[in-house]
Amino acid sequence: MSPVEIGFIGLALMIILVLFGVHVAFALIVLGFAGLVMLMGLGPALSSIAIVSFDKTTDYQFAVVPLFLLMGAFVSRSQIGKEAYEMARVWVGQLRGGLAMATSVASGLFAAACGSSLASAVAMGKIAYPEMKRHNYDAKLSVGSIAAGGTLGILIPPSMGFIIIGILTQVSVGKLFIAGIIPGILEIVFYMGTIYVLCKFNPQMGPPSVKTNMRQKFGALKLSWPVVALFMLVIGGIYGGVFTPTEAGGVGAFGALVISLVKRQLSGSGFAECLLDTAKMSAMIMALIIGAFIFNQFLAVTRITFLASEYIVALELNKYGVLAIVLVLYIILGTIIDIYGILVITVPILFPVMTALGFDPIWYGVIMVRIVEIGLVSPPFGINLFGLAGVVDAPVGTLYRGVIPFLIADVLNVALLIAVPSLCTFLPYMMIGR
Amino acid sequence: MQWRNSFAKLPVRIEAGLQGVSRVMAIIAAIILAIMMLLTVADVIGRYFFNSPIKGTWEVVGLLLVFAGTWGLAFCQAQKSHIKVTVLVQMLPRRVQATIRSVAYLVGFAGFSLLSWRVFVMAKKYLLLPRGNVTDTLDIPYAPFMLALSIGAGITALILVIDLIRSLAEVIRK
Repeated sequence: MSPVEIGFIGLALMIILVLFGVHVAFALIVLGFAGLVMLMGLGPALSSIAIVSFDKTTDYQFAVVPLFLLMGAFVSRSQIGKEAYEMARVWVGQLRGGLAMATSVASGLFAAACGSSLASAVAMGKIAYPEMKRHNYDAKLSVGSIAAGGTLGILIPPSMGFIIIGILTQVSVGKLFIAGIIPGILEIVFYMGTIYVLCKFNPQMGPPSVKTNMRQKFGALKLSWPVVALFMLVIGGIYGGVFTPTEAGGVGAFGALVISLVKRQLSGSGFAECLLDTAKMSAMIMALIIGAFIFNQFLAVTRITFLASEYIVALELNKYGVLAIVLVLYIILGTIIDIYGILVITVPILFPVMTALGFDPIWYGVIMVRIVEIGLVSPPFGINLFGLAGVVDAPVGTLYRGVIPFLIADVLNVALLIAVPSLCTFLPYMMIGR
Repeated sequence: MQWRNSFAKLPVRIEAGLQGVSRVMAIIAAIILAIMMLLTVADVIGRYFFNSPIKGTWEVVGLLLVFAGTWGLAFCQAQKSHIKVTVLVQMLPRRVQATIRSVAYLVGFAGFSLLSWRVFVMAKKYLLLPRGNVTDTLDIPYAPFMLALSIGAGITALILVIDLIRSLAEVIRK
């Protein structure tokens, strides 16, 4: 068998194992190793997996993973999300559908301090859902805005999705972070527009709350200082070239800890639980990273990614046609696998192809995260919907129907990002540091 | 009779013991995570406010990542938190599900025991190296951290053996 054939068999086996429920990390490690044995022999394969795994688990740059996870854990446990929601409510609550719009805004603010989408959706589910229910909001609108808002978590920096892409592709994590800002704000605007349209047609869905005056509005702004401070510190520091992403993670986690301690929102046991949870999450992601790099080592020896890029470029297809196929694939994957699993499986193969076709790596990173997130909230499997169903007392069917208008907005939003790529690339290319 | 009784309880005790070990390791990972955070912050503050960064922070944080990133692996498995696809398997009969689970645990066991063994071999080799066995700036030896990775992967493999036995029992069960 030629190396390329072995490579294809390896890929096919991996897809089969993963679809049948073998843990992504386990499949990557074992198939990567088996492939290396076939291509290089047992001895070199054995030492290769030891070197790769030690290299990756002691890489300073990968320390960015646990540190940002820890920041997210502290933020999730504090009242930061609740305060952001209260501020947003004072500003837009009086509009039709205002509480749902406030959910979108607060999800965006929460996302500016937390890098995971499910954590964001769960946090908003606990805070915003009871409020909307109390004000007789339509359950579909409530859960739809919460589920959709959660996807902002991984688009607006900090973002675990961008961190994993950066680790896998050597694209600067800092630049990816900055690239997420404008698309994130756009997404909030699109969601608010969706809610506006829905309530225009059916005012029963979201009755307006009491009016607030300008004084109350400006008074409420101070509720959001923790988010603003953390965002300026972490993302400002990266943008200005003051920190490396790893340092920004450490500083951000520490900042979130200090804020929750000063505001007495974190107990000793809460602190311990945040740390233990983060240790578990970090191990989960580290297992994927070890597996991804062992499997990549195997793919690199087969030269399969290089040949695939060459082959697809030589076909002279319309690059937007290829993009469309890839995006559909990502949405389907997004409905069944967690985003981190998708990224470690697909990025090493598809990323070189897409950049060889002439797409900007940073732009493509943003589009990829954006599109996988659509999958994560898409019926019938979207795993974020199941996570959210455990928090809000609404049946999964309501979630399905509620999220559809937001998915339509998402598709329009992604179309805009594809039509105007500078929305993603303008800020990062103006950056000072890396 | 006494010894026979305690012999029957042995598997349960081993499992409880391993789960205890995995939990303690995760707690150590958590504490080291806090240290990494504090070290990074101290380095940044030292650099910008006192013009004296902490020498070799990069090296130490990188090496500590072994603990923060892999000493939670076993705990993560004990809590069944590793990422997998569940939608297809859910539609299959119970016994088929258990069979697939057994395969998954066997694959995981193979992977982590291989890693544990080979990283251990590498650590032994590094201990004997005359030079090149320490980091560039602080001369920290690599071998202990290799051992840490080997232990992290090894305990994960042991937890997977228990899970494998359990799921096999489920396959055999009427």
